[in-house]
Amino acid sequence: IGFCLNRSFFRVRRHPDETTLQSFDPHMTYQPPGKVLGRGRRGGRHSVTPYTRGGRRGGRGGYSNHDDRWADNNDTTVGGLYSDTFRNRGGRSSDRGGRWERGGGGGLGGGRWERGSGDRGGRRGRGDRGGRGDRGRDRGRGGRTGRGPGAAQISLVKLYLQGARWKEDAKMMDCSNLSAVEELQSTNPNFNNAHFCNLMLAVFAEHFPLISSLNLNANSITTLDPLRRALLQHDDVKITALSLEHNKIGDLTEIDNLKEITSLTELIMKNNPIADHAEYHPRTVKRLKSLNLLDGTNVTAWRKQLLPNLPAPKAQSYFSDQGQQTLVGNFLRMYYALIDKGDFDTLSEAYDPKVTFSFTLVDGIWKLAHHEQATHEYHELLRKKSHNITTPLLIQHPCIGVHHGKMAVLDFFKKLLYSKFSSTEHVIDNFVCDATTFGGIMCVTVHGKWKFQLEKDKHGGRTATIERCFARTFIMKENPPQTGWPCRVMNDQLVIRRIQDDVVFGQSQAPQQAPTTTTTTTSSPDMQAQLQQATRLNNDFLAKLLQEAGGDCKKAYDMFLQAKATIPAHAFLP
Amino acid sequence: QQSKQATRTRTIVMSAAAAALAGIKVKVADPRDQIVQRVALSAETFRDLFYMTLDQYRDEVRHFFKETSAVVWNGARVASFQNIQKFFKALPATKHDVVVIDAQPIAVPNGNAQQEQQPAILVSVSGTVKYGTRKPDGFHHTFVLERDPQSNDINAYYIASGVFRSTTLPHFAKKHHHHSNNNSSSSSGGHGGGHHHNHNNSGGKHHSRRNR
Repeated sequence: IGFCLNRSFFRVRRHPDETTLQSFDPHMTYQPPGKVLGRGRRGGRHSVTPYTRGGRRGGRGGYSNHDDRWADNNDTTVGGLYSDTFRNRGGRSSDRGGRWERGGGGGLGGGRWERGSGDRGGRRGRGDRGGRGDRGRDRGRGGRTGRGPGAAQISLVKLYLQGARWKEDAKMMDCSNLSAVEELQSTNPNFNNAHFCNLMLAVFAEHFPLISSLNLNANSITTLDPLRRALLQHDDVKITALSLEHNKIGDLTEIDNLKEITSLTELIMKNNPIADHAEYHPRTVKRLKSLNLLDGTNVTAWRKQLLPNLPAPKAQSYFSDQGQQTLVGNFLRMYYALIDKGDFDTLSEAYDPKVTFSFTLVDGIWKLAHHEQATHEYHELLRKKSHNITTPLLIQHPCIGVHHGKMAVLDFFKKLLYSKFSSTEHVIDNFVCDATTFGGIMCVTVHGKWKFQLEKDKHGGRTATIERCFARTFIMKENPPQTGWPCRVMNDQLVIRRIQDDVVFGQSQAPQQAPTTTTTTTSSPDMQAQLQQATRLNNDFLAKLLQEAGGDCKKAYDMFLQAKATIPAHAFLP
Repeated sequence: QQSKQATRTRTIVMSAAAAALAGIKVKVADPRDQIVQRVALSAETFRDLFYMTLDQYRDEVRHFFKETSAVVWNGARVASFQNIQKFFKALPATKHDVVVIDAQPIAVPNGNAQQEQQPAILVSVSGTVKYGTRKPDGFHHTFVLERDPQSNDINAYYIASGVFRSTTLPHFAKKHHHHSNNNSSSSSGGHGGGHHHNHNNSGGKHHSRRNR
């Protein structure tokens, strides 16, 4: 009769919410798991809830993916499931005593089930694949519980990877061709699947946190979106090198998925359909700005393709000769030191009595950032004094913003331009300066950044430190020696614009007081012209040669003589 | 038509400005201001001519310069007058958009009356430039225009000094630590930041997001 009863239960059509065990327990009356267990649904058809280890994380729902439950590819346990359970039940029913509170691991009844765990070690349970000892039961397929991969899966993967695929010294994880690995079949290895990617990244995050290189060759990957999501979710795992050879990525837009992974510096995507695209290299290099190596080659060549073909620039300042450099350097240092101090009276000595000063604000094209709202009033005032010729205001009042004579200029500084500040700061070493001479007059253009803080207004408003970029042009005449200032200013033009953070102002090449061996000193333009005459190299190669020689023309010539035989023919002037 | 353009650019003829002078609406009292006003008009004419030439008639740009001109481009001086033509030819196609222009007369200390009336002009131009189909990059250009002594036309000027700087640099490394093989000037490419408009807007938005 007992047997018959069992059989009848066996044939009972099970409710989706039932656990297997319930249907087989003749002593148990059916109760929906939610009520009994008190913690929501627990386990699927396959996950043997009472057999879970104590270490399992709470809150695992069982049925978040119903389709997984009913249609599983790698479910080899269906047959085994019944037999196992049946087998287990036979021995266990007495233990259980028909209570389900124990389900869900950890917590309640944990002590009870430790005994169970111990027993399980000897018996081949559902979760034991490949005979791997006490890893805990299988949590269903690939951790599809909706709450993340289960501990059992993680440790399964981890053990496998540790043994076969992890290269400690190179910090590289070799995950190529995982679908062929028998041991991992239960996790359904497929990098196109978000759950699997999540599982892998969870394994990395937990057990291989130092990983920097990931090899995903031959995994039939068609999309990088799941990988991207998993990487972003576990953002403590920083992958710098990624290999995706022999996969099936065909769509160029897949590259955009890697854009958010900013730690990536190396990428290999050979032998993918995508690599045959004409636009593959330039587009990848354009989108992935942090990339240094693509398919093993340095990206600079491709990056250069994207850039305009501009002449070789120099971030450092230009001066005609060393003397001018020291002269201008001294002048600027004194000048800006005084401005920072707020000492305009001493500053007046720098100016010729008949100086003309004009000020322009590059406005209308920037929105003030939130913390800069306090400067709004200040900007309004300045805008009205801006001498931007084409504006309608200037047509009406053509001479706004132009000040004649020393007194007027200093007045402007004191009352408007520098007045509202509690502090200003010009970091001279970060300035970039170009100076040209003609007919005894110097024209010096200084580009730099300055910071200032407005005074607190009446209402005690915020005073943030505000940064601006400026471009200032001085027309200067040299002073006779023995005067305080090296030169005096005849014309002064100031243009203030929004801070542009990506402008790299010359960091170490700014005008300095002590003579330095910067490239400008030893390679003045006529020396360069001479070098060109002597070597007959064209401009590009001349520039390269000078660079290699550190700017020294003599050295460059020596290097040229040494390497003459190896220089290609097209380097020379026609 | 192109050769007509050439003759026109050879002497930056301020006759357009002179004609405009006749029609100046706003009279200013101060003689210094009067000069400033005239100079401003000349500067506008110059700007129109120069950037049109630079954008569309690149070959004619050399007519703006003379032997003694100093042309500095991002810190690199163009070596000689012969190289100016080559230099400008080597630049990619540009499209300049001037946002700000400012002009001042440069006073000659002991000048005669004519020099007073036709002084050297200091012009500062700031704006955006598009190289090819790229997004605009910022630039700042400082000119000193001097009267051409060899010309009979009193309104003939040439560029005595032209200093160009990119304010958003399209080919310097954006942040040095991103590029492993960074030589100091040009070999490693890098992307400059956005152009004036985008950068400012995104800066504002970024801040507001942060504060929120």
